[in-house]
Amino acid sequence: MRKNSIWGYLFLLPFLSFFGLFVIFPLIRGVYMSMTKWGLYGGNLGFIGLKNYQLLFDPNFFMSRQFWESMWATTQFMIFSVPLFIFSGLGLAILINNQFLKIKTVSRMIFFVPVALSAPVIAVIWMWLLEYNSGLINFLLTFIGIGRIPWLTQQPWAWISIVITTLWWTVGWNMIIFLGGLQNIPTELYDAAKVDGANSWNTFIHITLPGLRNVIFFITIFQIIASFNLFAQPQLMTGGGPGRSTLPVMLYIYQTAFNFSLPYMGISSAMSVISGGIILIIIMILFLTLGKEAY
Amino acid sequence: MVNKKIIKFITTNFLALILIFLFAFPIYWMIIDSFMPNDLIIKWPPIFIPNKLTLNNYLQIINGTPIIRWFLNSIFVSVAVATLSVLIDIFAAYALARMNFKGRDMIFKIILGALSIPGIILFLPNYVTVNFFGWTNTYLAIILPALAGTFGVFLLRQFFIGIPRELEEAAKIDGAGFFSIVFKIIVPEAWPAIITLFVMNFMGTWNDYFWPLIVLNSKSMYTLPVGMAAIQSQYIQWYGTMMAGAFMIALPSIVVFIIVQRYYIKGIVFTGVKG
Amino acid sequence: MKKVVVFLMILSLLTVSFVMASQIELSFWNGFTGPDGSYFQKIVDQFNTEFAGKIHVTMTTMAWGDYWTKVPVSLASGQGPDIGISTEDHILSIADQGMIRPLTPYMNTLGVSKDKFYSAVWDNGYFKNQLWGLPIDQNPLCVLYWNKTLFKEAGLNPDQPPVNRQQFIEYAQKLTKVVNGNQQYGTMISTGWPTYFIWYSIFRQNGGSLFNSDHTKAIYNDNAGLDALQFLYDLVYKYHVSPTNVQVDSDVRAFQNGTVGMEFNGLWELTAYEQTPGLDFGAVLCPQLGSEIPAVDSGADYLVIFNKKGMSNDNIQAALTFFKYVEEHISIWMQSPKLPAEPSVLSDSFFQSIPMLASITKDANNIVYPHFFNLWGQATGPIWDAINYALTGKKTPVQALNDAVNTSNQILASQQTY
Repeated sequence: MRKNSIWGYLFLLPFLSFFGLFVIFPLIRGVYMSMTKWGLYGGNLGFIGLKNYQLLFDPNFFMSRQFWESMWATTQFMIFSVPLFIFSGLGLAILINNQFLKIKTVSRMIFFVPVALSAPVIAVIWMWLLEYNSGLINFLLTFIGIGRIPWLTQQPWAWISIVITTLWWTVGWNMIIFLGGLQNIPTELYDAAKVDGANSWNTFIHITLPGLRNVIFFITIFQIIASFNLFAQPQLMTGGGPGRSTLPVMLYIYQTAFNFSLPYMGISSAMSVISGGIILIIIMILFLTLGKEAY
Repeated sequence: MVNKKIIKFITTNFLALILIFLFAFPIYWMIIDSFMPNDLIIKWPPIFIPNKLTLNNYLQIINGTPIIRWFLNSIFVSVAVATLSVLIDIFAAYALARMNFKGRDMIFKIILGALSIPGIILFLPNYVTVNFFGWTNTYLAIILPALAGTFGVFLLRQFFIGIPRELEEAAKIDGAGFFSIVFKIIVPEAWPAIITLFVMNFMGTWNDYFWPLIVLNSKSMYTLPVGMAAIQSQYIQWYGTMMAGAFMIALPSIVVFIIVQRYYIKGIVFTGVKG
Repeated sequence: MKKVVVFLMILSLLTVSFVMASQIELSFWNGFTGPDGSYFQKIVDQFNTEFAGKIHVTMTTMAWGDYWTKVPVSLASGQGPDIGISTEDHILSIADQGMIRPLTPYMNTLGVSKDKFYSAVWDNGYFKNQLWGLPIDQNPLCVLYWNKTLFKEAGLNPDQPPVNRQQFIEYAQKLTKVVNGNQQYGTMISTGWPTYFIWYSIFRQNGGSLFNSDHTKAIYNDNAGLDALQFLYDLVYKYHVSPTNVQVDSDVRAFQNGTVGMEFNGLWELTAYEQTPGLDFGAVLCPQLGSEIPAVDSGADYLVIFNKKGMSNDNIQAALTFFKYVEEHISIWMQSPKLPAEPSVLSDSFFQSIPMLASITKDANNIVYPHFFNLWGQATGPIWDAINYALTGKKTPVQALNDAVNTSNQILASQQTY
């Protein structure tokens, strides 16, 4: 038993070293940093207790307002994208799974290929499609008589642009998972339903959806986390604009932390802790309420 | 009854065709426009069938950016991360799946719990750590933090647990040590899962944007995603050149993806369905 | 004899290797990505050829946003560039933080003094009794481009752009008409970039000052600021010489397509217009559209020596040699295009051969720079929003500016708390 012990720890050692250095240690240090004044160039400028947190809840402090505005932008994106991406993924999966579809493999691959690209690449592709003066989409709109739309410089088009771009990019991911889930539902259930004379809508509600319960739950969690991490699309496509309306919290923290002329890294850490904490709580709540059924 | 089936057949395939068209079109447009001269590309109304195709945009990218170097950087770090993480994850997963030692389950719970720590809390202090060791702007800054990924350990451990114990028992009777067991029995049995993990970590590193953006300072060290952002700002307004850069960067991703899609898909399905 | 020859050969080998070993390497970073950077690269390449074996400069470019993150970070960890460029808005911050070396002790070596330069650009780099950077160019942010063909058609003298507000409005009205079924406009005022720079120029022309002397209050909603914004607003909504809701770069496209008579933009658009076939145009620094003194908003670039750990005196001397070389060959860089920081460049024949620059430079004495301080960037951000709100008709100019001042004041107040 003892011999096993040493080997056990030895085998774990490489992984645990990296895990400790890059997961556990920064967790503690991040909290510490959030209670300091810290400059990009100057480094640790001193412990200031909870001052950063106080300031972030002080409506008169301009960074507090900008921070909560960015939290709202992230929230808006989550509201626009989470349900939409889940249902779109499910829809595509159902389409692919449909017995009448002849072009299954090709479809599946084409819907999924954008997932293989990195965020800046899709941002650039769509930036050009949505370009105000010469972009293809505005051309089609003027062609059919609607006229140009300022996709990246005015609301609500800016959010629509980011949502569509991200949808094209990641819906394939959800689709693939749903496909796996669909194929896990025993066909006997469907056969039994047919025998009972159920139509497709009823089958969907009473067999497919319950069978996908687990999958839907986990895709929801993934989608929430992924939407929370929104960064490249607004950074490269709208610059956070118009104004700050599409500036998500990840981008705002990045901008404040890496501003060299002002010692904002500490307060950015506080922002990270607050926003990270909020998303963690949301996920915990979801796990505790709905997760019980999924398991 | 037959009529209904024909209608369903037509609508399903028709819908799929429309969606395929919509999904594929942006990539098609990127490719077409990458061969159009920059001054023609902004003409109004847009020219759909250019009479003047050019390789100029591609030449601009090759001459104006270290894109080849970016490609090599991406390959190096992606292969390094995929290989090293698989190695250390195999050992960690085996320890957690098969070995008995104090605190084993506790450690596993901590590792599992870490999956829920939002990355947003970790990136700034990790940046300070990387800076402290002088790893900024080196390959180490990309490779080392990626080895702390817990997904691989989780994936492999679940898989290892499912391997029939008889195989290892037999080997132990023959006097095999832990290393032998891992490499001669566990790895061959778990090969699909290992390849899947390799592929997922490779693609993850290959497409990573945010972390390389903050730790890589000089242009020659960029990975392809960061390079794409650099091209976007360098050639702003020159959309033909931008599209050429985008295509050059997208192409390897698509090629690699088509080759490994079986495993990549397996990995994704595992996370969603069994995770 | 043989021995002597061998001895001399060994001696010369040692000397050569000693010389080669002591070639000084300087790393030079800047934000000149894109085609204009290639002109600076030419200067660097020429320098490296002439000073081969003694000094070698390696130039690296990156987007300015990245530059201002990477430079402090690498310097903080002991790496980073030896020399670089600072734009006019950052030189105060980086000097404050101790990231660059003062150049005052080297002014003689460089052969520079205040009277050699346009005073505005010199003063922006000279503060706290020290010279912090060598000015190498000025990049005006408010240039008036006009279409000579459209001027002729409207009965205006194609070589005489408007020189005051009244003329501007008059000319714009004459240029706003329907031509061949298409609406032609006298001008186009963008609702975003780069209208802030136009506003700021007119604001300074009205004698305005953005903040009070200790930067605790924003005061740009006074008559100077309001008048400037109202003027731009009126061009759109009162005189109708500009369309509404002009998107960024729509004005550039329209100017290239010959559907707008006059357009405001930075000097950087000059190349694009020169390369537009069939466009006969003129360019001049922003005319006096205000009421007090001529003023044109501008950017500028300075050569700086970073406070890199372990920089030897030899390295500093090498850097100075490079700086002097750049200054002597600055006309190459002016092609990017830029205006010179020194009036003497006007007499350089190469500079005179660059199209249009010499004639634009004649007003260079009007160039002004804002009074920068650490929070300047943040504190002026609301003005951009105000201009956007006013020009899109969402707020009146008065409202927009007042709201912006409130936000700016909040930002300035944080100087006390943080």
